[in-house]
Amino acid sequence: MTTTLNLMKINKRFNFAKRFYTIILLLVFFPFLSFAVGNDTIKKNKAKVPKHYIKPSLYISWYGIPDRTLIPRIDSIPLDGRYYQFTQRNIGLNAPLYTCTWLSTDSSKIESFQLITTINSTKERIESSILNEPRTFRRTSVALKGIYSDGGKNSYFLAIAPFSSFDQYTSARKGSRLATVFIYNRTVNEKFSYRLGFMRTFVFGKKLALPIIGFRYGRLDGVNFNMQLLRNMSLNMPIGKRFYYSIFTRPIGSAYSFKNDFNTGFLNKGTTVELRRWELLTGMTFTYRASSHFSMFLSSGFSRGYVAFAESAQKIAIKRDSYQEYKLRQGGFLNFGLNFYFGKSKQINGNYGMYDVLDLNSTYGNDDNNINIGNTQIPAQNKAMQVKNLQYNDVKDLMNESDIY
Amino acid sequence: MNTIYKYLIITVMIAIGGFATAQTKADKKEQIASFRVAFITKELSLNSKEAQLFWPVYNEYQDKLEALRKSRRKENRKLTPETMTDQESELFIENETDFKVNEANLQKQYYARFKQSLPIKKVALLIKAEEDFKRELLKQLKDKN
Repeated sequence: MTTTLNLMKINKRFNFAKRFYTIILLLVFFPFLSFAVGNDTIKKNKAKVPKHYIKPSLYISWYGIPDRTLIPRIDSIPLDGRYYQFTQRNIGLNAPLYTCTWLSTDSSKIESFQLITTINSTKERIESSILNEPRTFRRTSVALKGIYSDGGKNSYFLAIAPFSSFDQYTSARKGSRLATVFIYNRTVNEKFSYRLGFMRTFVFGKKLALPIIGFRYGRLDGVNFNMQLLRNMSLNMPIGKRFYYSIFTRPIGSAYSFKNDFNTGFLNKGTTVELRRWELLTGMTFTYRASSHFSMFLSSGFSRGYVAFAESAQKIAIKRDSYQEYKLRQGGFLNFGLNFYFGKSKQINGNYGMYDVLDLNSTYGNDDNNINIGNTQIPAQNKAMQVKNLQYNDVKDLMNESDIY
Repeated sequence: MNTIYKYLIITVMIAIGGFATAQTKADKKEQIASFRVAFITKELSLNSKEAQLFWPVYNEYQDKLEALRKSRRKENRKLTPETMTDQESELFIENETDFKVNEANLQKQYYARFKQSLPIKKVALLIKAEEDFKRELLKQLKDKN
């Protein structure tokens, strides 16, 4: 009896495996089968022009600071030997959804509208002696961005980025927030552009509506100084065609809520705790653009900032005792990341208006946390006036017989 | 869990290797395109306002030309003149003539557009600059070999 049952079980498993492999084989070979069936009559290929200006990209990054001493600010409880440590892992997808181009009424300009989405997932780990054990927060944002360019000097950028963050330890508590950015960009010429706008952001640890005033001096595909208050300030320099070097200062931060399960003297068990953090980073970044499909960066420098704990958002205003703010002693940080780009995009060489659009997308569009993935989609300037390792196959389409004589 | 991380790291490393070395055609094309921008800007002495209007339209023209060439290459890859059937030979001839007609039509259409953003003399110069650019590439190829 037992042997029969075992045989039935084996037979069942075998049948399942057979079905599974049949499905896999069909999935793998279906395109070839359909091609074979469809190839009876010779079909003509249609010339396909790339649809989008921005390539879909996948980015992965890591940011961390080692143990930092917490210095109590005025009215905060003095702490002995209290420390704070923070690490952040980030993965995101930036993809164009829809791109529309049309000729302006006088046929001199190509106007465009692009709809782009960014899905971003961040895992943030905070370890501090104020908390009884390390807390891990997950943050997910789905941003929808619209960029209109009039094909000349003006472009408009709007990003709506709802995000939810929750404490992995007590996942019941979820906080949903909305970050938005609106910017008007004017590309005066290839060397100068300015921006005006506003943002609703949590990058300084609490909800703030802030104006954006910024300018760039220098070519985006060359040496440039970019000051976008209150988002970032950087001096960017390409080194050859593959390396970029930049010196920057920018804020990062966020706000979290979680259910408390410990007593610390000022945080009572069972209450909802509001945790706010922000840092101002000053450092340098090396970016290596290995190919048009892959780039990586390494960034390091110093950061200073604040971390604040309070029993709940409502109580902050009425009960000052529950709000404790600490300054982080200045120290180093490390940030590195990888960017993968897929597919093909429309050519944008020499189109400085579109360079600014790409810069808007990478500076303001990835996450409210101010994660910077760099501008590696902007083509490098060709100063040498030559093409390295030129082969016959690279130019054969361009040549006519008369060109040889 | 550690095994999953190990495989994940190996996969990421392979992906990096693949993406880093996949610089062949796309990168060469990008290099040629940025050389073309530098060459034509110099030959036409484009000022900032002209460049701002000209390059987006010129890039669109290049994208469409490239798509035509790619489609021609794809078609021709399927057909080998030595072993073609009569039907295939007919198609090959049609493809080649269609390509040349489409290329000429595209050139006509876009040169009309360039007149909206550039003075007529610079549009005429553009035809010469494009020819000179091809010759320059050929010269660089010859020098290399």
